[in-house]
Amino acid sequence: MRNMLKADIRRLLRARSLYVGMLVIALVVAIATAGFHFLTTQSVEGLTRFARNHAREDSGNMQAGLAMAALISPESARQAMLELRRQTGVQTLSQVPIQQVGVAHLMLVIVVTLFAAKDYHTGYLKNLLTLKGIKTKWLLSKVVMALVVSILLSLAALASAMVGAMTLGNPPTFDVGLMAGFFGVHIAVDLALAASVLLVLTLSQNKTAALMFGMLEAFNLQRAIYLLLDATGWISSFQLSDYAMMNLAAAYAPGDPPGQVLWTAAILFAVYLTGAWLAITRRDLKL
Amino acid sequence: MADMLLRTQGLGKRYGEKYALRDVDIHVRRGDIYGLIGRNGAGKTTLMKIVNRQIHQSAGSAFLNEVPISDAASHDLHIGTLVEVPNLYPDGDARENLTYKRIALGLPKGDDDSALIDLVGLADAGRKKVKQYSLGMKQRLGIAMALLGDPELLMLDEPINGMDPQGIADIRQMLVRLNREKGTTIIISSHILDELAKFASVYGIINEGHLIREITRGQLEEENRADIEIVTDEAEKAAALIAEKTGIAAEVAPDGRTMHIAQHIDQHKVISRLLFDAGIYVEGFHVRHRTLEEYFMQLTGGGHGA
Repeated sequence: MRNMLKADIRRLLRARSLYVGMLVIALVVAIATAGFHFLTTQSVEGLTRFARNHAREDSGNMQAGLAMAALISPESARQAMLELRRQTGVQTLSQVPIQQVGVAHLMLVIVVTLFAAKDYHTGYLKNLLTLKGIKTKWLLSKVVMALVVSILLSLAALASAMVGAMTLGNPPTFDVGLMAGFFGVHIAVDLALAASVLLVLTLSQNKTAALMFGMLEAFNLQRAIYLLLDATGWISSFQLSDYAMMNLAAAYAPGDPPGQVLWTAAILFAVYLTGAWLAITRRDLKL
Repeated sequence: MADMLLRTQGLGKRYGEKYALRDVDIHVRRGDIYGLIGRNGAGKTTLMKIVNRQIHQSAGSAFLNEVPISDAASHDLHIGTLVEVPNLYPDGDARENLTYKRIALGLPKGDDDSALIDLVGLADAGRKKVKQYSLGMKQRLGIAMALLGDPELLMLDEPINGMDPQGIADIRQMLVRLNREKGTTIIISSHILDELAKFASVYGIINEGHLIREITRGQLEEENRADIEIVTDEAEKAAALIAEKTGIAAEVAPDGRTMHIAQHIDQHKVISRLLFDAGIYVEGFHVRHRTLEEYFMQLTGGGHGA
């Protein structure tokens, strides 16, 4: 197992897609930072317009609340802008690619699929099949690689958020416990997504199928399926769509109890990974 | 059984209703160069895939050192394989491809990679990426990958595909050297039967999923003596002498110098001595054999090539 991990780590760190994924996340944070910068340096009229729009969307939103204050007077608008800028710290910016835009989960799916599928579409896995228990080791190693990718993408979000916060004149500091909990929950979601990709890859032995499924899953395919099942009244006393992992993950705020989203991710991870293990060990390899 | 490295017992593989392999019992002894011969779709690659644990057999068993191969969780197989096509990371160079496998195998860092690259004649490729390789170069690297870890059994499926004549000769010499110097047992399939005939010590002939014959090189030569060709200026006299002394009929060709003996070919030493003792000057004396291809065609009923 250790040897497989060493080989995979070496290959992962040479994979272009990993760095492209990290770059995309940094880019999303940069765009968000530029957006906040624009928002907090714009005219009072612009902020008033923002306030009205935001007020309609979510009256409980802190930024909307601050912007509402801008409606009162130009001075309060300037105060609101300053306050909004002050509030846009590491915590806010690092959530953007993970939760607001969801691009971090998508990048995870793409990087893990391209990485794992390479052993299938090049047939390289065939070179290793004479090793004892290699299929199980291969699968577990890919899960560990998904964990590494998820951590690296989270770090990319955090690092770019720190730079973004400093650009906006805020300190690059954050509540470590709070952010560790937040990233931990999303890493758990990433692992479930990676397991789903591995299941489709080992079943179909096709990169495109795995990539498409993973991307749809990251875009909340699960909720669509659950909604369909709910609509059929399959389980009358239970709304499956309440347990759609990506929905739960998107609604999760730092500091919230992670129970439901963690359990959902853990159950899906276990189910998908068991399926993937059965598929890789029982099916013939079409390499 | 002690010298038996690989054997199969009633091995079969079925896809739906169609059998790709049926009741195959092959016997590969330690030190053999085992030539696997068959037409396209005969079952050669299927057999190799089962031994490589790539696919599961539908029936029977395969044993390496008398341990079932399918028991994948319990033991490593000390086999190097190149089945169908070389399986390489296209964005890496030769060294990188070897390194990944070496790490996965748990082999220590060493000069082995360079030695292997030299051995298969890829030293000039430098840091060139595999995606820029010709088919022949990929085949060479595929062989180097198979050789990594010094396997006791090397299993090569069409390894000389896409190679130029010099490349084919190089690979043949390398395999023979490995076999002689390190005692590596080799299973090799190829459509180029003349090439296989140059170095294989045992042949397994597969047709439509069945192993129809397993034969050693010696047996093959014994069974495939076609005739004796004798060239002499005194052909008529020689033919009469042979007929008189041994009762064996010799046919003199229209040129009056060449004669052929198609029966009792095993008596070639007696005939040679007879002509020598009679003072008949013989310019040429050849025991001619059917080629491996002719033998294969005869066994499988001709038709398409192997």
